[in-house]
Amino acid sequence: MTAATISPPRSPQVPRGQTVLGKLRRQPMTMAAVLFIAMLGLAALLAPVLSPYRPHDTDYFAILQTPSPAHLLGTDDLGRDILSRMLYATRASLLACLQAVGLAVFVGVIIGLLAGYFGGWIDRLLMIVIDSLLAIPGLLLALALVGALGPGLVNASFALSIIFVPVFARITRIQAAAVNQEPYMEASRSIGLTHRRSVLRHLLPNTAAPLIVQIFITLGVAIVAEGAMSYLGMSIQPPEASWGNMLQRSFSTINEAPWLIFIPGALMTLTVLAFQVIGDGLNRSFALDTRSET
Amino acid sequence: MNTSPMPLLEISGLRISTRGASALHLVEDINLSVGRGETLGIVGESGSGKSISCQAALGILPSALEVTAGRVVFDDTELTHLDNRRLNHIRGRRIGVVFQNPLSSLNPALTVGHQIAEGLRVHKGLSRKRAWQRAVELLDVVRIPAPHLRVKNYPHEMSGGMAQRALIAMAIACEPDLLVADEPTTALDVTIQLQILDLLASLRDELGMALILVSHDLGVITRMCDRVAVMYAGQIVESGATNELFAQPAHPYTSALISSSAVNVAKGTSLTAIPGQVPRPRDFPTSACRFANRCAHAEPACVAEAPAWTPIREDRGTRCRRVAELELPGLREPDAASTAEPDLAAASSESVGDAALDVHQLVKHFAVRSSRGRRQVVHAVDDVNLSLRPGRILGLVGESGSGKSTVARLLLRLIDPSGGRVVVMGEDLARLKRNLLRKQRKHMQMVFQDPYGTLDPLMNVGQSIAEPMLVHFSMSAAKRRDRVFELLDRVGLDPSVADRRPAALSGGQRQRVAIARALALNPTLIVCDEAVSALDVSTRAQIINLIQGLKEREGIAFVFIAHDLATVHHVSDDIAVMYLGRVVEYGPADRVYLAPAHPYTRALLASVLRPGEHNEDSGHRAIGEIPSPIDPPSGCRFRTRCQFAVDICAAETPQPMPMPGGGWSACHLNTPSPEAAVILTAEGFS
Repeated sequence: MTAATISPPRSPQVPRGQTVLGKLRRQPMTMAAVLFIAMLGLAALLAPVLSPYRPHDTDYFAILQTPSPAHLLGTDDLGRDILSRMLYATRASLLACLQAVGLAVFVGVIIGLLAGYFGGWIDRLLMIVIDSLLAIPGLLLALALVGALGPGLVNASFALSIIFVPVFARITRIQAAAVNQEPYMEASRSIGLTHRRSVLRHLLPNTAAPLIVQIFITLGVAIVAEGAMSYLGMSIQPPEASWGNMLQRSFSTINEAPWLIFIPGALMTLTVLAFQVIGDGLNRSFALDTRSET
Repeated sequence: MNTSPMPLLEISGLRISTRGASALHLVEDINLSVGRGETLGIVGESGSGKSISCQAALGILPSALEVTAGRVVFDDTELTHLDNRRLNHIRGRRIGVVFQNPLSSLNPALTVGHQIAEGLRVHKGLSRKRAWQRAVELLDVVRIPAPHLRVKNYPHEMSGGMAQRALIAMAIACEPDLLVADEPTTALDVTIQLQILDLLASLRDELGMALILVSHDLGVITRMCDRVAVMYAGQIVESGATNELFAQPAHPYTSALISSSAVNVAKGTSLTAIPGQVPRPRDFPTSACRFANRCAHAEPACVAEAPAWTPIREDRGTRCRRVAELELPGLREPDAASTAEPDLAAASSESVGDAALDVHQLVKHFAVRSSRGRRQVVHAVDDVNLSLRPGRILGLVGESGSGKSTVARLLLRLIDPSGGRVVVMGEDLARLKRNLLRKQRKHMQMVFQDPYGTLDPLMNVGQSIAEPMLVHFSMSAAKRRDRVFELLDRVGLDPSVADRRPAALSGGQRQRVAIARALALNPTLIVCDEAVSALDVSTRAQIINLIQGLKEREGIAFVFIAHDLATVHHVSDDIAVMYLGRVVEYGPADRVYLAPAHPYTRALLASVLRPGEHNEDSGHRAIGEIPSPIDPPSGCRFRTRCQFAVDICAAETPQPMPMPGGGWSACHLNTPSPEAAVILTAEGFS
């Protein structure tokens, strides 16, 4: 036996279940939420295929029907199939949220990275802008913007993204400023990297964890906010369906068909919940991940 | 294995394991005892299990660990199965603890006085007022100046040394029978280390306490301890009386530890490094000697079965099966390293040639605001002149706060100087535009202190090493990959390391990776900022040998920054000693180390604790702590801590004075005037 056989080199692979994904897989609640969102996304994508009726088709002989084999979720006051409308509404609402959060992440992360990496007057200037945005109540600002730009899905998403920018800018900035103090950032300067490469290759990946968590939490907030805006008629315009305007419409017939209000309501609640649960689960996995490495 | 009839604390057969199904045994078969008035040292590298053994004795193991075998008996009470309430009672009153990092061991939200008084009120039932008075007295006992003012300080208002004193005050507040000090001076400067060790020793004698001192530093252990236990990979491999154990080690590991220490080896020779590294608990061999794979004396029988504890005498034992046949080298004769008179004439020969680095009147001032918003200037670096030729190593020493790291960053222009020139390869860096500076960077590289932080945790080792080439050279991916393998080979790492993340590597391996990355661009100058300070003794020797080899084979110039004068002397050709932003002494390494001229250099040297030597006090001490670089003392900056300071020291800044043997020293007392020379020698330095 040689000395080498006494302590074999440790395998370079991280033990099973130690990665972030591995840890997520061991959280049943999070996995249920992921499954729910995946199904929702799939339903939205396949809405044209899945829906039994076209979403705008009215049938005046089947108004406010209770669920039946012909209309699985019943019909509304114009005789439109609720299931079909829900599928299209999911598509519209999710799209609006993704647009809003996507734009907010893009702008917020750039602002945050610049502020956190360069510091000094760049940081102060950017943070003054961000702080003044934060000073205005979010939904009020979004409504005012839509008021100025005119209602519609794109404008509503844009308005929402404006109110989400500060969250991402601040989270990125604080994290980037902390990571920027790490010796490997100084080391990257000492080997002569450009700012661009330092930021994109070293700073951004190491700030990503809390950002990813925040993206999911904000998606949940965006669902509610977008719902509120389309409830008020500021976002997607009828006859196009969205969760918010279906909710609004079902209010007018609450005496005749009380169940109608529960369908978009329940779906919104569940979606928000699912996003929050995923955010929490990710947060826990990232936290465990960093602890196991130190 | 102890001399007193009735030990105060006796640990027998202790085993600590992780909780859960596949339990790992982190330490096994630990037998220790300590009596009143006695000091037991536990020495070992990180991961050897010395700290958790102490934690188990105190009942403060992390919740993921548990004691699975053995007993801890403190004054007739078995501690391992005691409930928390009674344990708390014993811990606060009869056992005190001092941890490594004083600032994180104190609660930042409460004043120091409050924290000391709290223990007194709980354990001794003192009134609020009486406890506060006692806290003031205790701060006086641990020799904190102006204790009645300091008692109202929050931890962040104290320096590290001061906070450690406060922590000691807290630990001895109830006059415990046993004090456990876990690396109490590792986070402190050498001059402060000496002060704290003296304090611990005198408290032990005054209060008649037993003291358990955990340290990785053989010098600290020698100075303080009557008996030592050497730990390796979760086992005690050797124990015995300190002097005997260091003079005639009975285990190859102890012997190797001693010979890998820089103070014990003649300059210019390479250090005896222990190959490899301490295994992790899951790799502990069960049926072999745990040290066998790194041992120079291992034979096949060593890996066939685990060696049993072999008592040599009543008080001494080892865990080596070859103890009877091996003749292991211990400490060399105390002055062997320095008996050879420094060849002063040869050392001072300064050949002319192109300097790799030329620093001229370098100045760095930082603007800060005080808590009241007043503008203040930090004099981090003032008027530093250095030069370095290719293939030489310049050592830069000083306490923390002396400006060493600022100089390192200025040398590479990671920060902009406030004045002066830094010339590398004929280019004054201070004047270069951003783009040209970036190009110039390939000539100068840096190896940082913290091997855990300098590599991007998300990149694998290969990517990290390849990155500088990606930026500076245009070469194909395949060629780059080949070069990464070549670089890994040059720093003594296996090519398979390229695919690993830094988290999977040990500290020493990471530091090798950092060096490989620095070498990637074929630099002419590498600045090592405390590059070995965070490493264990045995890995430290490996890295030092690597640096010396690179210097000799490839003619790279190094600036080697460290706070440890012995290590710097061993590595360097020339030494510059920094204090509070200025270089106070400069010269050939042997001259500075063996015939120091500046009182600060002498004080630093007196703080070097040599293993096996109960260092006699040379009378050279730095008094107190390094002052703030905001508003530094006028004239000679060291005068506030200098025992020889006279009037002129406050009035005039001393100028460099050439010294016999080469180099210079900036001290008024170094003038050739006869009476000044008398002052310095009369105090006992020879």
